Amino acid sequence: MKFATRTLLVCLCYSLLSGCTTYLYQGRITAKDSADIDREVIVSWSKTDPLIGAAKADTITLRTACGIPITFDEKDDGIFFFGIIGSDIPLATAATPEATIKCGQILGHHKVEEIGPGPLSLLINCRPQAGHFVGTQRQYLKARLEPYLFTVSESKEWSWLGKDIVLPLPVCHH
Amino acid sequence: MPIDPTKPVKILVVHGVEIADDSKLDQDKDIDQLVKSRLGGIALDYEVEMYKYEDIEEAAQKDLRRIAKAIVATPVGQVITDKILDLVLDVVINLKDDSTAATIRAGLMQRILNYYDAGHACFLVAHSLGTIYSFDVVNELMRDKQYFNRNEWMTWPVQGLVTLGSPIGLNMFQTGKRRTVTPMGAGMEWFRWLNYWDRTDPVVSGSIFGKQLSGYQIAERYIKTDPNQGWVIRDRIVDTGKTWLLAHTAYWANSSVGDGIVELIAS
Repeated sequence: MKFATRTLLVCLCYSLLSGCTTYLYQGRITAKDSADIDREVIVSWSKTDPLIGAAKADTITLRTACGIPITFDEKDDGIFFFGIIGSDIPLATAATPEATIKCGQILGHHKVEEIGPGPLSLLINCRPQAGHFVGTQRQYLKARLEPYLFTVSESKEWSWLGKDIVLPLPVCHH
Repeated sequence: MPIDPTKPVKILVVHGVEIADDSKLDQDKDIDQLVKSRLGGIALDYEVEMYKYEDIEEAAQKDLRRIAKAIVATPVGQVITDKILDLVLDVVINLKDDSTAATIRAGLMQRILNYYDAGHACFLVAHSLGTIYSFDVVNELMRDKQYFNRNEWMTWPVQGLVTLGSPIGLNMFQTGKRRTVTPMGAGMEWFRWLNYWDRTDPVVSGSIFGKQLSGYQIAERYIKTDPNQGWVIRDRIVDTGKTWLLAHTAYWANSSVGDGIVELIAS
């Protein structure tokens, strides 16, 4: 087999394994953070759909301007933001021997891969305690009983080798 | 000397299998750049440094390399270059758990204790094979009674662990003391371990063709319901935007990983 043909075949195989479409999902609102200051808040995640194989999605991240990131992890019973006892205080305190507490939830969904553009509602029901190394900068979206509603948009890009995904960050004006 | 929270936090990067020598490794710069890009206005005083051990492994590989080259001195064997041998032998050294692996662990522990003695908090960010060494060292430190008083976080030489693309879920690494984490005893503070993995990362799954995994527990297999365990352990599925082998090396630039490191230090 000639060198050029062989090279072409290798490139083709490699592209079949690594070529993909990446999707970025994001929604923005302005709302109060846990220090009661109006902030821009962005919910975002990505999804990669390869040429061969099933699509895979990121965890969902919520960034509040000037605050810390919080992450929603996909579990069998839903998509939750897990706080840590001592670091996050739930609105309704329940005694529990476990390390983590459910401090937030993506409503109406169980799999991140299945979430597309459109309305997305999420709950936050904890408030943060100061951190050892960042003190009172440890803030996120304010806890409340009603869900927050985002309108999620989608952008997509094709790539032969995949691409590094950069999630959007709200601007902190302090 | 216990941790002084007014001193810069040290983020110590521990690399995985490499084909370069120590002088060419610079993943600390990647992590520094990543964390800086994800702070989002949070004033965090931190410094990123790296623990390099490739040269230690290089020296230990000489005999193994000679034997391997003799075995593969055939037309097919010539395809197996020095670079492939380098990767394979790194793993062999860890699995053999001989004096080289012990030297690497001792060096990592000493680096951590140097930070501790100087009053710096330390967070470990480890990749691939480096996650195995980091896991071993954290647990070894926890077994030492002079550190890790559960209720006094300032006595913790390591404040949190982030693992990226870890093969710790593979059977070949599930040996001896690595089958459980060291319990911290009764108390109210929690040691945090975040394990990031991409569903198509072949090093995590052990599938050379990057077969997708779902419903797969890696770090969370270590969770016990006993609150005296004292660990908060989370598997975080991350979409690196890449597939197959490229997924294994794409964690260094991933926003979700950067957010996780910031989240961990800020907790």
